[in-house]
Amino acid sequence: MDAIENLLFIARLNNIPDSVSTPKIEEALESVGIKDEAEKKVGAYSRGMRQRLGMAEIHLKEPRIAFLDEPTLGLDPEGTIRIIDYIQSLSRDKNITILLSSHDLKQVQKISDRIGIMINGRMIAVGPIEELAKEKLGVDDKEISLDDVYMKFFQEGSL
Amino acid sequence: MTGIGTIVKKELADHFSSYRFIILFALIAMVSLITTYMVGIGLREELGGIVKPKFVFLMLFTSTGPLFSLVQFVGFFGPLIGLILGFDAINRERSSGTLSKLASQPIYRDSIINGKFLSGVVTIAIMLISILLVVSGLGLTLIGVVPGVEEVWRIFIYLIISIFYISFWLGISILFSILFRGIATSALATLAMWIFFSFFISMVASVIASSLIPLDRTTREDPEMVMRHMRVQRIISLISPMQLYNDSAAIIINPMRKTTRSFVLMGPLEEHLSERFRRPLALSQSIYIVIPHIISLIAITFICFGVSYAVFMRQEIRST
Repeated sequence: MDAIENLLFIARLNNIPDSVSTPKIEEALESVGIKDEAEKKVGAYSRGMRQRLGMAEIHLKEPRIAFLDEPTLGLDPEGTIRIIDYIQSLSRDKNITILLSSHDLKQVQKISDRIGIMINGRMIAVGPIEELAKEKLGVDDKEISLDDVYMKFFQEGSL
Repeated sequence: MTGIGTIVKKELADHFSSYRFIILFALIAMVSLITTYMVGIGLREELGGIVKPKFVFLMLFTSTGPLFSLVQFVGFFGPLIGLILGFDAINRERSSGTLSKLASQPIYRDSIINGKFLSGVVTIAIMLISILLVVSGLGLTLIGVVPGVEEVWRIFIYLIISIFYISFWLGISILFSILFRGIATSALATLAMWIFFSFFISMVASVIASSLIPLDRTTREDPEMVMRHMRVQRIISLISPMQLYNDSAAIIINPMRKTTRSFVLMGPLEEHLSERFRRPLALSQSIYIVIPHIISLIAITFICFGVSYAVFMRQEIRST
């Protein structure tokens, strides 16, 4: 199956009629930037392209919440930037709540509105980064990095 | 039932565009056309100038000709269609990571397995129907005899039995594709089942029969003992779905056959009488003889699918 057939299949599984999904698929492929490769078999896609195809699925289904598990894992820098941009546009333009998990803390800091820190399977803290920093480090600094905050939580958490 | 239609459609598209199906179909179409052609030519020579016997048309399917009859061919080779269509149904999806993706869509999980099985059955049905139609057409032009109503019914029932029979093998291969993670493993396991049921079951049957009722020099003379020996052997070999199918197909398609047994004990007078009055059975009587076989065949098909359904619904599907 190529990318278009793939998305069409998913749309049908979601009971989206073809008349609605066909223009949306065009749109989705355009916005994730794999329109030129849409005729290729998905089996021949690289990891980044598959990841973007998954993003196109969100565009198609327009859910209220999307859970992304390490969306940029194993991608090249260019692919990472595209995915991140796209995630931000989903949340701003389409009002989709995005819940994403990642080990790349700098990136998380860059794109997240609120951050939750999980250690040993428990959610230790939730909130905007400034709040977390104020609470843990006692500083009110926009420049504080999430890495520092996380390390602080981690040291306390493991005690 | 959400999604099942979509999955069936997609699977059908996959089946019909796959090389595996095209090769298989070409092979089967070729063999059955050649077989029919040779049988038809033979029949034409044989029947030239004599009064038309009853049920000539069905002879197209049952006469062995120089190689084998069409019924034998389907009985032996049909399982391979089912096996090839199903042996990687689930585990290929699993190994390429698409199963978790499919299961994450808003469909019931059983839609996946139902869709896979149903699309296989539809593929098998289309395959068999088209081949039987082409073969009948070729037969019509070759021997020039139009089939009667009863013959058409017999062919129709034969078709239904064949679809169930091949679907049973499809079910077996889908079950193995659920049980084994490796595609090669499930392919080998299904082939092993096929080989066991087609070649070895008769050996197993005769070994068990010989150990239960040994036939040595003294007992060989006793028809009673020989019959008991034969009966044990038959019961054992009926474990094989292939035996079930061959028996029922032979009776349904050949109105002259009056028993599924290949060995009948008869007195000389009886033998003489039955030779004198060889008359075909009515269709209802033929069905009556093999109805246990047909029901068992349908039952094992459903059991097989039921087991794979149950196993699949309980299995963990996770993304890796």
